[in-house]
Amino acid sequence: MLKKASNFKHFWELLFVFTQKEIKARYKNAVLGFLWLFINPLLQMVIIGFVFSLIFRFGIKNYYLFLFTGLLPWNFFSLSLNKTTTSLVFERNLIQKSSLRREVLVLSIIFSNLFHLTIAYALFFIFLFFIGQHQIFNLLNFALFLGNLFFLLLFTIGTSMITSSLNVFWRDIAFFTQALLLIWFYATPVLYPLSFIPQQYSSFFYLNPLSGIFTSLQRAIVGDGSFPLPILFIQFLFITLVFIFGLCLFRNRNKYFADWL
Amino acid sequence: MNNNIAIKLTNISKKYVLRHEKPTLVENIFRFRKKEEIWALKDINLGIKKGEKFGIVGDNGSGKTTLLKIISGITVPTEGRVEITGRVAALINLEAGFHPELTGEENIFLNGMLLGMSKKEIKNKFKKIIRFSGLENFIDTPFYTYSSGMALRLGFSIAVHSDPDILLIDEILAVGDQEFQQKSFQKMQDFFKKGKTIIFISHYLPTVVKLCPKTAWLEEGKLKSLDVSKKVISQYLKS
Repeated sequence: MLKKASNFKHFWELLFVFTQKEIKARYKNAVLGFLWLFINPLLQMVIIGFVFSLIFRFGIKNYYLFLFTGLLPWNFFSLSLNKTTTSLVFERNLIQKSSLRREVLVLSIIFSNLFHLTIAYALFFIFLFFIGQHQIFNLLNFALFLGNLFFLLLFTIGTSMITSSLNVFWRDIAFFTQALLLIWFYATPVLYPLSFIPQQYSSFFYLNPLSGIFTSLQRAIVGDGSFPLPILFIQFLFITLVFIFGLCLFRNRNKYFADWL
Repeated sequence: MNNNIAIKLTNISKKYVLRHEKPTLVENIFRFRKKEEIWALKDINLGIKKGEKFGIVGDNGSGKTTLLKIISGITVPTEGRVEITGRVAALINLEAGFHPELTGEENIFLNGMLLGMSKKEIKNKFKKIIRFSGLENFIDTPFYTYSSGMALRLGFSIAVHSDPDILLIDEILAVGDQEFQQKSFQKMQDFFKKGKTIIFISHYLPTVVKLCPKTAWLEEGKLKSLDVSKKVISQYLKS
């Protein structure tokens, strides 16, 4: 019993140290160091704002705000999935030489990306505050935002667990994932609101478990879009199942990782 | 399980599938290739008592390292049961847990945790680890600036300070320069005196006889002989 508790504690400590490593290693030896944490999202914000408010004009008011709302979580999802898929192969040295809990290798990448997402969103919200777009500072909207972010995290963990463990046994899973992400990007309401989709196709979009999350985030932050609640809950349920399935699959395959790398 | 037993292996077998190329999904669907299988270990039974010093000898490819990997939990046996009591540290590859971009200090935490230490434990032993490694002046520089000797010294220092119950040693008594070698040999002997359980794999047969009362001889994945070290070694030398 005591051993279990200390194992659990050790797991979280290890995850914390590894996440820290992921974040630190990225900015080590850069002249501006941790400032890059803020410069990157700011730069992205400025460029997107410039390009889409001056050059391209779609029919959406404040399109660049809309775009930024979806782009941040999408980057989080796709960067995480891309990097975790090959993470076990990259860390083969560690896997073959140490008996650490391998979940840590995948989760640390996701959590370091989550850290970056948090900073980017915080900067974004400060910007929204100054331009007078106070939508997100409503308690209900903020709860909606956090809730959807939570399920995005669950989904990212679930899918990453699946692709990373399968990639150990079939190395081309990484290529499939990359291709899938490319298609998925356009199938998810990031560049466009779901309301732009003609009615007869919308059921197709409901099959994408990310459509509810992204529409809800846009609703919470810039106030557009609505998503049928029952379908959102079904998607949440599906995401939870993917999460559980991913963890189980990973745990099941874990034993054989060292032999296949 | 008997309380005095540290490691108990029952009918352990380990099968490896030999692959000549990267495994892919596409290949799996469209082509069936006959699998080449190798039994790295076959029907190993071992019981090692707490505090026992146990030697393992055998030619290259006889399954020694696979056995260590199974005991340390890096891989699981295809068949059989493994029972372990206590924290295991394997001195197999001392540099596996290091990250080149992080400093020596940060790497001590990273590597120490991989060996099963808690953060608090590492903090308490932090100074000792650095002093033993003799790298006081380099400890806040990035790890990629270290020479391979320095890296090994730091790795060794962390590993011996992790205070394991069971120590698996795979031929690394010769780390670093003359002075450090002496220091580490001293530390090893402390370990041997301290009543820790130790499994020692080596090709230096006289050292095995000197340090371990009992020795197992592996040949082609099978336990060829298990007895008093002197007897086993002389059998092994005759073969």
